[in-house]
Amino acid sequence: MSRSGEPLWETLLAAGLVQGEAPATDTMESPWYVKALLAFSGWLAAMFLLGFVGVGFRFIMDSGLASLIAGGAMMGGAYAILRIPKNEFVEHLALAMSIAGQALAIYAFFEILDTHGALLWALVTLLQILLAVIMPNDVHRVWSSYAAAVTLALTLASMRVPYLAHGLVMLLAAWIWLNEFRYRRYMRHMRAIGYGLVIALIQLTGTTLFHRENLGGLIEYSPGAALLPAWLGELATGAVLLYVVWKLLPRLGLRPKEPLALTALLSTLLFGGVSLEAHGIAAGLTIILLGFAGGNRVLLGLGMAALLFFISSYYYLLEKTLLYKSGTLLLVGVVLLAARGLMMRVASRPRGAVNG
Amino acid sequence: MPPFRREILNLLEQGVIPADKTDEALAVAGITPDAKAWKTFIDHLLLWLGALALAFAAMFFIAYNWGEIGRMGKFGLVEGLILLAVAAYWKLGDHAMGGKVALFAATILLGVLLALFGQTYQTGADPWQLFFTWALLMLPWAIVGRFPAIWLVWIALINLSIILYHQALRGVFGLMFGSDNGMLWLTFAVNAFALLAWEVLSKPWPWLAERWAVRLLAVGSGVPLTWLVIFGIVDREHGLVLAGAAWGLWLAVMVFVYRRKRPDLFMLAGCCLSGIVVVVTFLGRHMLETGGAGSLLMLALVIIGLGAGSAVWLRNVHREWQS
Repeated sequence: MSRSGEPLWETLLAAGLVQGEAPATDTMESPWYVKALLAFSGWLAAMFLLGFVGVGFRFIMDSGLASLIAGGAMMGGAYAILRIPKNEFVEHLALAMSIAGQALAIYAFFEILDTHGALLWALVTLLQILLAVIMPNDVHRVWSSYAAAVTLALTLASMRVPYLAHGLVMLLAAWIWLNEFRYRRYMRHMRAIGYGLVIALIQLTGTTLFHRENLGGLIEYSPGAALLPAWLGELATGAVLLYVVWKLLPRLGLRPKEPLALTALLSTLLFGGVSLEAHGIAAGLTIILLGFAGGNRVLLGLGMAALLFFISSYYYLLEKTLLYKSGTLLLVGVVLLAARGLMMRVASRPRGAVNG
Repeated sequence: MPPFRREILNLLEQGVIPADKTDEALAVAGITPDAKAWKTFIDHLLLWLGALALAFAAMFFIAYNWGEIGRMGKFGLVEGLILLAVAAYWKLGDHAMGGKVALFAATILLGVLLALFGQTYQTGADPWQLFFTWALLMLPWAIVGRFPAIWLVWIALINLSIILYHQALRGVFGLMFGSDNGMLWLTFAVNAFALLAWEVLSKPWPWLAERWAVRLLAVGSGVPLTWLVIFGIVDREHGLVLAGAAWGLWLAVMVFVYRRKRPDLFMLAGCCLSGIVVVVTFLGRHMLETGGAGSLLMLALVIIGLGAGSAVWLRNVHREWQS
């Protein structure tokens, strides 16, 4: 057993925030890439497991009900295994079993309902929300919350109201990351769900950018059939960015009516307006802000990678000319640099002078 | 960024820190940034994003090839922007973030200028030549700039040139190893050399000591080599022995260096991933040819075993480093 972070303990002790000896800990969380490795091998094993069920027990795949029962049993088994902690092999096995079970359940829904429309995907969303809440495993929670967000988008796109999911997912992700430390009992759960939602948000923004809302033919959908315009999604994203900035102001020691706070809010509003046409920039910026606010390097890295990806993908957006896109980016750049100049100027003034 | 995030989360979850002191503890541990850190961050963020948006705006504008503006106008615009960026770098210096951003923007604009040159004079050059010339011409700026992002752009351009070169011509490596394999060997060699150079030079030049950059290079070299082995296994003609030997040696060096010399769990996790993929491909190639359902179950169990083994090993190594 190792002592949990001695230098940190000393710092906290000196500040009078803790007392006595550092507690011994054996439950150190693995870094994200170790979890990604776990997720990858779980997913890969699930594919073979599914193949095994498909080839070895063909009668299961022949009947929707049998698939549903088998899938349910696999997920139930995975849940039972995951409740018993501390065995890497069975934990991996449970993860693979659960993913394969989910695939069987989706197949069963499809067979029984005989549709791949909104009802099917709404059911899958509910299943994934349930799994994200009950499955006692971080990697599973990341996966299920990601899958729930993506299938929610599929449900809404099937109902011809795409783009709404982005704002919803982003709002939920923002709320989770802004309140990460508030509910101690659920911190770990919230973190896992938060990562799943952010990854889903990046994917959803990317698929919208390339008009792949049907995710490779999972649903019948064409952008022309949408009842809502695409910019509505960006508007919702901009609104969430504004909410995040608003919530962060007190952390900078600013009251909303102070000139610096007003400058920040106005700049965000203006930025939200000019970036309506440049998909993903507001989403990327929000993830970056949330990452910095929580001292979370993984989130910060995800936000930066997403932002770079979106800004370069913008080139391939076909319905707008390059001249138009160039103009949009010029506006975005000018607004950002002007906001920086203004904020730095206001911030450098003494607070008393500003308030007085 | 805070080094104690995982530790403090642990303490909070254990309830060691009183609930009403959470915010204070997070601030003391440097998890939540103070007003000064926020100010610097927002300053840098807006500067980078703004400059990036403007550089991309210039790139899109030139790509549009607007007939209303003459040749001179376009060249004047791009060259003027480059001059402006270089002047800003010269004025702000390489220590200020503004200077670094300006130089970075200048390197992007240099590529725009080269593309404009090719577009205007129809030089007949292949796309790989554009990126290679871009890399060559920006080299002096990368040398004087001394910051990791600009060097990574340089390495990315070299990688892009290699890929485009192999799409256009087969080249010497293509003749030796076949077209796709030649490209993979060359990208592996370039990125592996870059990784080695980066690691060695980051000792005398501390500005190079950015782990994210080194990790990116390791991915850039490990991925093509793993693909080479996979191709070798799936397509038996394609030099499995050579690729396999190089892969084995590579894995041994990586594990030794990042386990003993420069502890880095990310690199070890990458080696595990590469190992799992290669072993599963090998077994899959041989077992799925003959076996039925049993082989599929066996493969699933092998993957679970390898994944679990990797996780246990990585956790033990991590614990050993921390104690």
